[in-house]
Amino acid sequence: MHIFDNVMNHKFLTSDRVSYYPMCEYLGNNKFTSTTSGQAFEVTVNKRTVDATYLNTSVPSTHTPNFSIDNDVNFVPLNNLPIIQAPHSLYVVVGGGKTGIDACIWLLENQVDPDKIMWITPRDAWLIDRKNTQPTEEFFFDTMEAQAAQMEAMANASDIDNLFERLENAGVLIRIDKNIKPEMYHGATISELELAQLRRIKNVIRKGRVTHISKNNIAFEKGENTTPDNTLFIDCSASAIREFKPLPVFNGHVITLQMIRIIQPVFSAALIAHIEAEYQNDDQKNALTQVVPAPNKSNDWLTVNAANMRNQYIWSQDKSLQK
Amino acid sequence: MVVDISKEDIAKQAVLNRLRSNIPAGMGNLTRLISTLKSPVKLIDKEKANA
Repeated sequence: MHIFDNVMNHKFLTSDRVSYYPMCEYLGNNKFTSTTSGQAFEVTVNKRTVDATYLNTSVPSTHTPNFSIDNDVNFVPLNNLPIIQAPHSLYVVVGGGKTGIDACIWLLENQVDPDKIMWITPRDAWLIDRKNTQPTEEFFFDTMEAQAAQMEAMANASDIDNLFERLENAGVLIRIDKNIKPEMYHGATISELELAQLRRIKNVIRKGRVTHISKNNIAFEKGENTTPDNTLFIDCSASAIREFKPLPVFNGHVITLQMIRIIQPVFSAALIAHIEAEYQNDDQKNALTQVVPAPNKSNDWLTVNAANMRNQYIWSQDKSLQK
Repeated sequence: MVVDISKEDIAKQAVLNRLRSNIPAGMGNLTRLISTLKSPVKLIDKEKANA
């Protein structure tokens, strides 16, 4: 948050080219109102409106869980972990995605006994080894060897199961428990040290999604578990990016921000801005900004990588983008 | 990632060549694998029909 605040206050606003309206609800037709004062605003849009809401990002502190919770349950978003005042008899991490991983790692880093952690993971995930994603030249061999190994796996796999087997053997994808076939792929990254830490947690619950939490019981799609008094439930069940229907990025007076490189929302927004500024017509702009969907299921690894390679090829054929 | 590697850097060039040489086959086979993604539903239906 400090970075965003710093860029807004010390770079954008001081440029005199940006107006900032925080805490406002957009009503459409260039109108919005303040959620704190009720003041109404209307602006003139000279070029286009940029819709940055379409991916419908959800975060633990503001989302509504997809399950019911009794009032006497101590259920908090993971943002509340640093304000814990006293030890709990059990810490239940609800969610098997990257946020759940981060909550488990935080608890372990802060001396919580792994046997006092219950980790609810409706689906196991394929994960990316962080050392293979570093962009600087000192990580050349890790990153580019992984890219080469990935391409070899794509070229030689006999079927989809064999593809994931090859990707895992090459270290491109990793999983926490080698006895469980992952059903999820969200592009989460993890380091080898974090992986070793997570494997210390033995109480991993795989009974489907949570349906209800009461003070001493968790109901799942496929069973239930009891919990002791003084259990802290940590909500990591928000879905960062929901599945969405891809739209043309450039459409009339609206630019709809979506990902055009695999799991790279920031890079995607920057390249979309560059293309808006430097190219002339929307057909050309849309050809350069075809959407790469957000992956969800493990098999989505194939389709999002194919879409990503398609865009990479298209960009490589554009003389301006080659520079 | 910086991929503008000196031609004298044999080790790095070898990695890049390994990547580049597999791109056509990689794309082709990935497309083939994707085409099999929709088939499991039909296979299940067929099994039910045969049951």
